[in-house]
Amino acid sequence: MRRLIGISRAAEETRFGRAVSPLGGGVAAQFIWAVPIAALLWVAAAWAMGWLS
Amino acid sequence: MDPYAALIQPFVEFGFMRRALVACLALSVGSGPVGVLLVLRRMSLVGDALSHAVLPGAALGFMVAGLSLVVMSLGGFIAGLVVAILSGLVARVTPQREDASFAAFYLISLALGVLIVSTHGSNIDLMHILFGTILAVDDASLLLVVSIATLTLLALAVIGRGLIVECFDPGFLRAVGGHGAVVHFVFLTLVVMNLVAGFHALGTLMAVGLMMLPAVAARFWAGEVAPLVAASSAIAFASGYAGLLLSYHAALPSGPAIILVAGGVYVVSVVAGPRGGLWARFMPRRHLEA
Amino acid sequence: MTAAFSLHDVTLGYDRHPAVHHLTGSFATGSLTAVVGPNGSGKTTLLKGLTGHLAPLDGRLERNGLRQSDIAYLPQQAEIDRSFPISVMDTVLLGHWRAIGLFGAVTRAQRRQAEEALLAVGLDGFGRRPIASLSAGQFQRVLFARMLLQDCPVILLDEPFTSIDARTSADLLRVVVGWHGEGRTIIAVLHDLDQVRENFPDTLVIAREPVAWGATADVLRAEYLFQARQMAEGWDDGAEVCRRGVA
Repeated sequence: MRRLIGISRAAEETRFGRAVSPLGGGVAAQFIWAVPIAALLWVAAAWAMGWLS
Repeated sequence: MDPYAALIQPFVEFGFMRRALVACLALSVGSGPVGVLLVLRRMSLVGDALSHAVLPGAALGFMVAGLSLVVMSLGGFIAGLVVAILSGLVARVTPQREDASFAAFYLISLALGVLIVSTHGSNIDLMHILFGTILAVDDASLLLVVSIATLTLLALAVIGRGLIVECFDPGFLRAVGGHGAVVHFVFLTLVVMNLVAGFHALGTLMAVGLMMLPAVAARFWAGEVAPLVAASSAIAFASGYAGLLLSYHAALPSGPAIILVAGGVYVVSVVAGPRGGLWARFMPRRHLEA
Repeated sequence: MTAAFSLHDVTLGYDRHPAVHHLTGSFATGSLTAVVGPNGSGKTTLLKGLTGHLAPLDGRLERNGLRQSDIAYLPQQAEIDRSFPISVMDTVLLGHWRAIGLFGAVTRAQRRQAEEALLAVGLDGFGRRPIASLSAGQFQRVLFARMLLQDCPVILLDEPFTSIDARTSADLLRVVVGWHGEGRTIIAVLHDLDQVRENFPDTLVIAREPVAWGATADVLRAEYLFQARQMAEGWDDGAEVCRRGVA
């Protein structure tokens, strides 16, 4: 558990960690998490509708 | 029954289960952050009020165009927005607080909705609008729900900072000229949009369940905003998945099954959550050195 | 000497009831003024009027060329949700609002400035702590660090040292005096008269209308303070329409 917390601390010190902090990063930085999640969602939708097979 | 047959096969075998699952995923991704922000802004009951406000719009849409996805969604969206705007206006130009004006307008809206449905529709239509039918989500509904989730994510990425500051220190946002009212209104629009998405799957009565229950449960697991959002979305999706399986294997209605699972997660969180849960409170661990 | 704010017979209040009325005078650019008076004497209302968030009911209030973003305003503590899950660093970074606005990213240099501001208010290394874990005094230090970053020519402080430990208020007073040295205009609502006498060159005594305004030594005298206490009466629902300055 302690190791896990250590890793998340380290991640937060990195550029990515700063970007996803709600206030540190700008809009461009927020898109780092928003766009990939949205893309995954569309892949899932394509799978559900049978477009992938 | 082997685990594969119990946990995965229904989704592989049946298209309607797949679409229902992805609809749940989209709802979790969109409603997760919206619910967390509602809780943080102490507006938990506003979500409830708006979900009821959606009813007359959806019913009017049904009256005009039958069970048409687009028209019913649009109607619900407009009705919810009208209630949000009127409540906001009354709160801004009179001394009445926003929670009170919300209560007044949603009750008016709800009564109108029930009136319309009961005079113009059959009981089955009423059941559909009130309780939704996630197992009947077709491709068009799924596209709508996924589009709303996408729009929500992008909008939150854009106005996230404004939202957080407006709820933490509204005076500061006003002092620096940060357009708090615009941010607030965009946020209310997102709430209504997500309730419309939820109403297709869960019905107007329970659409707000997948928004609020995971969000309030998440407060027992995480402290900061980003982890709260992640926890809330994860709980919402897990509830959707488990609820769908429950409804499939036990032949239960899917909407209540999903919300009840989310409710169960909430109760477990109250008891076992590390942040203020009962267990942590009565079985304190030794304090740290610094 | 130029004035940051000029007031001509200004009346401020809510719902036609004046909280402060018939206030005439000016706050000189670069001045350090204490506003004192009994509870309910309209001190907070005056500050809200100066920020521009409360339009005068009557009279003229000139903000000579100052824009909204030139004025930093520290409200009384009750107005902020201190249980909100936000870190000290993020709170302080908001001070860069003029540069980053709603959408901009924070640069490395701006982050360093925020760390320096925390150091300046005695909170070095507190950046990652959530604000909910801070004492009232520590949180006030955070708000001062944010104002350091805001870097405004005009700073309005509403009871900045009330219910805060002595050491913190001494530290933060040093920050205020430092701002004065940099030529900023500072107006602070205060209760501690000894503190005012020692540090504030100018004082305004109000009790719903101005009692005395000028150099602290001339103004902070027993007769004015007594008069102020006499004048601070409550809200009167049946109050007559004020005719002063009309006839």
